[in-house]
Amino acid sequence: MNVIVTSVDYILNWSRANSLWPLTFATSCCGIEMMHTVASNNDIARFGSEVFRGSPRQADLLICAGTITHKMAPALLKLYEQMAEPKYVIAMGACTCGGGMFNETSYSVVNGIDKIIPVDIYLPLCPPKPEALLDAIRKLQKEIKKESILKRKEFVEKHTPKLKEYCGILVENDFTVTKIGVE
Amino acid sequence: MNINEFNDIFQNCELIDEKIVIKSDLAKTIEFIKDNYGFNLLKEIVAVDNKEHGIELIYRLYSTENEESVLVSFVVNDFAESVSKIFESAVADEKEIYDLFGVKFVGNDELKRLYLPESWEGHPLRKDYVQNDERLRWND
Repeated sequence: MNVIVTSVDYILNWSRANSLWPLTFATSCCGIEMMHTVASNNDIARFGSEVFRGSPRQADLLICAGTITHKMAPALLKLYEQMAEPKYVIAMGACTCGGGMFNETSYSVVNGIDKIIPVDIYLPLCPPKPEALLDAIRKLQKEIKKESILKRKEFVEKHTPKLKEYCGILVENDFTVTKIGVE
Repeated sequence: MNINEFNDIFQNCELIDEKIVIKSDLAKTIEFIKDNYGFNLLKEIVAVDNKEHGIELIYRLYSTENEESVLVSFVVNDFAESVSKIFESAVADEKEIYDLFGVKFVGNDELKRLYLPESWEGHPLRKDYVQNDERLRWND
């Protein structure tokens, strides 16, 4: 049994790691660096991630580029829920890693997207250079190549924030999405 | 501008620190300046919270013909007259000031929050704003 799973894992991980299609999701200045990464100088296509999808249904990778505010948070959660498994998340920029310069000083900014969705790779800097984003994608590929299809589910469940606290009126009223991701 | 011109329209005009101080309605004054001096563009509305001295609204009016602008400032206290009937571009500015400062503009029919979620409590740019919303505890 182990032999079969291991060889299936090897093929699946190889194909997943080399065709990570990111979701077009940029909320501020980190988005400019992400566009720069796609352009010819830092060609992201070398690592198989050039196909930026507009629809979350077709995307494997959520590069969260930019500050997430309380008004944007339900939209981010909704996009993440709509992505098909397997899905990976890169928190790009200091704001998404832990609030950055808005931490504890701003009334409207979420202190890190790991309070809403599970994160695979943290990429700080403000904003990260294109080389740093490419490095993050390479690191994510290495992680994908190591993982097992049986253990991915456990990992996601372990790192998913307890969203019970989040089911406030903010989600219900503003986007008419009633309690996404909440038990 | 000559102070005598204002005296004909409004009562009790004074000249304090090279500023003409009028005790008059907000909308009436703006309309008077627009009609008589050709300031036909409202560039921006700025709000300043001066704590116990109320909230100061500063209107920047611009004349496309003479290429000059004028600043008109008013001190209000939570309620103000809307100029959205005179300048339609004021609707968005007034929404923003209502959202962040809590000034209610009487006469603006579309007055609601612009940037923050509809269910937000309080107006964050006021000096006395304290965020103690129980629903946002998860973010601490």
